[in-house]
Amino acid sequence: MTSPVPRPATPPVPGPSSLTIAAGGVLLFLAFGTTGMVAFVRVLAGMFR
Amino acid sequence: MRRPGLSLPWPSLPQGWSNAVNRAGRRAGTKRAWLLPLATLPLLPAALFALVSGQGAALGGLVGAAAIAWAAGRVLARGGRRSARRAAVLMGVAAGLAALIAAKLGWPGALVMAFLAWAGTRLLLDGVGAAEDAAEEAEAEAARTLAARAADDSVPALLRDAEARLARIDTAGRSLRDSRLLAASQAMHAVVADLVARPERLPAARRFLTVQLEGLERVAAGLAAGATPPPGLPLLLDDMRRAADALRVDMRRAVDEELDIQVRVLSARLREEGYA
Repeated sequence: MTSPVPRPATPPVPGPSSLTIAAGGVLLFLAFGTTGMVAFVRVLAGMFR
Repeated sequence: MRRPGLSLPWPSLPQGWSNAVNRAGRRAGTKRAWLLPLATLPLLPAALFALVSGQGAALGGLVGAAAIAWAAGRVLARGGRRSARRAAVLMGVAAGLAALIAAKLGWPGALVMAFLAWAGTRLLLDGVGAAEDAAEEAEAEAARTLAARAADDSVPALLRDAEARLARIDTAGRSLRDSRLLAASQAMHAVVADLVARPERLPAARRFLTVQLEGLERVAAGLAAGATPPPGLPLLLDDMRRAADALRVDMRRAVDEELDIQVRVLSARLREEGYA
């Protein structure tokens, strides 16, 4: 007699802390915000050159 | 039934839009997938000015970065193996490209921006990768067990088939994050496990197994195809779970009654024979 098939465990629904998500958002914003700002300045400088 | 998807700040959308948003929100990580292309919004002013002033290189870099970020969102929304990690790498490439070509920060600056975007995305998607890895592990474990069981001739083919179908329903339930579908499927797992232990009960449960499995498969297929769950679905899934639980109770009761009768017969015989 074989043993019953073990039920595959249902992975828990991820529950990241809002602090982690906020930190991620800040880093993303820092990366793209800085890049966008510098790019904006460069483009403006290019317009008036 | 809890509808996984984007939580919207407004009460309702037109039906088609609402369906599209819910479909988009089904899989793990999709709740945060739309944030990735959104993160490139700070590039928009520079892109507009580059377009107006005809600075093709800068415009190309910015549009390319936005396109890569959009692709990262798509990768995440589609889910699959290591989608959170792949999306983070794409976001890093997007930031690096914009920093290198449009902001002209040079390689060191581009690498710093790429790292920030990569790390930011990893944090933003914290938990998505872990859930996906756990789901993959559970599926791999189930597949290994099923393969071992398939090689075992002592388990009737019908039960092996039922286990394989339930594993597929489980996978669908997990990716849809549908707790009722999962509960119904796991109740059926328990029935199948009981039948594996006592295959002589299979003829009595054969019809039940067929009907339940077909029903669950159709529900899972419909939901996976993006159908809007009808109002009666939660009740149906609860009924299916209850029916599976009831069948197990019945089977157990039959076993108990059998043992009870055997005990009585044995006691009577021992008394007759003068041993008790």
